[in-house]
Amino acid sequence: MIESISPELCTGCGECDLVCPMDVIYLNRETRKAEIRYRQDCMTCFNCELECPVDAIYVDPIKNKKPQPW
Amino acid sequence: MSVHDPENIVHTDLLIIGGGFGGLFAAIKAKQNGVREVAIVDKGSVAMTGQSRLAAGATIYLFPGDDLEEWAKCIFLGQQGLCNQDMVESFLEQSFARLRELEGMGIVFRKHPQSGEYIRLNSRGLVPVQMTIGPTYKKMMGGTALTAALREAARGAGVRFYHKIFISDLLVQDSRVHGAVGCHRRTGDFFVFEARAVVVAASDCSFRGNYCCVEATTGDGFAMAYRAGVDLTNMEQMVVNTAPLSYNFEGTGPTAQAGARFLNAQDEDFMPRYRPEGSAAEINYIVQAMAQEHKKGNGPPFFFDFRQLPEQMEEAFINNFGGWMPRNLIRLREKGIRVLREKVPWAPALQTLRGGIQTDIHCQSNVEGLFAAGTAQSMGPGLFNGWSSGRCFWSGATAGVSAARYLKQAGAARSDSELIMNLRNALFNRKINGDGGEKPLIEITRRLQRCMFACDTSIIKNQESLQKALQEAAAIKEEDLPQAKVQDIHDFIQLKETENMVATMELFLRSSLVRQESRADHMREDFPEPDEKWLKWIVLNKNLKDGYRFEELPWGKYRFQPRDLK
Repeated sequence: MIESISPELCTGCGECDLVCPMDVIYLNRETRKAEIRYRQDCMTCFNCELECPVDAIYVDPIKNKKPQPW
Repeated sequence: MSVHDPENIVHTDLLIIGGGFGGLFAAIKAKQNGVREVAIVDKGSVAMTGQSRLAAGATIYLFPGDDLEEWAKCIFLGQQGLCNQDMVESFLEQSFARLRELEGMGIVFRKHPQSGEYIRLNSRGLVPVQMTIGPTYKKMMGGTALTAALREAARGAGVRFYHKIFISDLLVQDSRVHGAVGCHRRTGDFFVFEARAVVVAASDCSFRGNYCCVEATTGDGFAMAYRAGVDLTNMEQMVVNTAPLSYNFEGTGPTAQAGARFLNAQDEDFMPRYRPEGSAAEINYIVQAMAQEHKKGNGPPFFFDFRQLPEQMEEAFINNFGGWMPRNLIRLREKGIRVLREKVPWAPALQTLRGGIQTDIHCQSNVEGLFAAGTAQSMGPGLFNGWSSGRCFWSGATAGVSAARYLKQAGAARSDSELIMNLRNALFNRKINGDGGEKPLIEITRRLQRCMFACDTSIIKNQESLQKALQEAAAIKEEDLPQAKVQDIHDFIQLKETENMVATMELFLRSSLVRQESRADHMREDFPEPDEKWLKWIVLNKNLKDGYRFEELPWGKYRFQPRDLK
C-alpha cells in the first residue's frame, strides 16, 4: 500500500494522479503537491512510484487484507 | 458545470468506452478505416490505469509455419468444447498481423541474439501453443510498453481522449445505440456522449479481488450492457486465479513450468493427483484441486514452493519482467522477503469473468451500432497464458474495422432527451455530498466479497450455495446500498462501481444456477461431470421472459465436434 509522497521532492507534475487506477492520489491545485487522499483503496500496483520522475513516492509491497475462500 | 447542468455534450462518430488493449486497438483500426471522429473515454486515464497496462504482456501469436488446426484444437479442448471456433480461428489467423502492427508502432519483441528468431515460450496448459513475452517500447516493458505504444499510435491518428469520466449507461433506443452517459469522477459533471456507433471495451469484474491488476475492474461494461438489453453469454465461466496472501506476484505460469510446486498443509505436492501436468496445469484445475484438498482437510494453508528454482531466477525476473513486478520484488527484498527462494503462503485470490457481451465474429452485439472488445466481449472460458492480451488485440481490431464499415451507412445519432433525463436520474440516485447513509462502502464491499470469494460460490458451486448467494446479493442491493455512506465524489463513484459489482454478481450466479454440469471454469458439486447435452451457450438478456435463453453451438460449420472432446 502507498506509504508516502515526499512534499519536498514532489514537483507537482501530476503524473501520479493521472496513473492511479484507484483514485487514491490527488494533485492539490493550491499547494501544487500530490497528496494521498484515499490510502485504504490503494491496490499496490506501483504505477505512481514508477511514473514519478523525481522518486518522491514509496509504495510498501504488502497489500490490503481481503476475505479468503475458506 | 454541476450535476444540475447537463449540457456537457460530446459529439463523435465512434465512442469507445475503455482505454485498454481492446479500446485502443479499436480506435486505431477505426481511424485507419476512415472514421472521422473517434473518442475514447475511460474512468481512469486512457491507456494508463487499466488491467492492460499492468499485464505481463505475454501474448499468443501464431507464426507462419505454425499449425493453426493443432493450436485451435488445443483451445477447443482447453475450453472443453464451449468454444466459438470461428472466432478462435480468426484470432489465430490474424495474430501475426497484430504482432507486425505492434512492431510498426515501435514495439520490440525479444529475439535470440544468434539466430535472430523471436523468443517464444509455451502457453502453460496449451502446449504446443506458444507466446512471446517481454515486449519493449522505449524504456518500458510488458503491458506498460504495449499500452504506451498503442496510446501514441491512437493519439497520432487523431483519436480524442476523455480521462476520468465514469460511463454509467448506454443510450439505446429503437434497438440501436446512440451514445452513452456518465459523470466526471472528480467534479461530478454530467456528460452526454452522442455517437453513431459505440464499442464497449471496459469490463471484467474481479469484485476488487486480492490482486493489484484487478481491483479497478467492477463489471461496469457488463452491467451497462445488461441494463441496455444487450445479450451477455458465458457469465457462469469465471476463473479464480491464485496469488500470495500478503503481496502481489506475476509469473506463476513460467515458474511452475520451471519447477515450482503447489503444496498443501502437509507439504504434499498434490497437483499430480489431479492433473498429469502437475503444478503447470491450467489455473482452473489448480484452484479446483485446492478446493478438493480443502474438503479433505489438507489445507489451508497452501503454498507455492519456489525453493527448487535456480538462484538466478530472482535476477531474471527483475531484469526480464516489465512494469510493476521488478519494483515489487525489489521492495520485497528490501524487507527481507526473497519470494523466488521461498515457500510462500498462497491462495485463490482473484476472480476474472470469462463471460461478457455476446457478439458475432465481427464483434457486433445484438444492438445495432454496438460492438464489444477486450474483456467486455466473451471469447469463452479459459485464462490461458498469453490468451487475454491476444484476444483483446483481436476483438479490438475487429470491432474497430466493423464499426468503420457500419458507420459508412449509419445515420445520425438521435439522443432522446427523455431517455437522457431518465438515465441521469438513475445515475444520480444519491446526492454526492453527505446523503445521510451511515454504512461505510468498504463494509458493503467486504460483505459482497465474503459471499463471492467463498469456495462454494466461486470455485465448487452447488444449487444451495448459489441460491444463498443470490439472496445475499439481493440483501446487499436492497438493505446496504441505500444506506451507503457517500461523503464525496470518490465515494459516489465507488457506490456506482459497487452497484455494478452486485449486478455482475447476480448475472454470474443466475447463469451458474442454469448450467447443470461442470465444464471448463464452471464446477458444480451437484453436477460434477461435463454433460454433452449442456454443450450450448446460456445467453442472458433482461428482455427475455426468464431472463435467459439457450443457444446451440453451430456444429455444422465447426472444425471440431463434441466427439473430439473424448
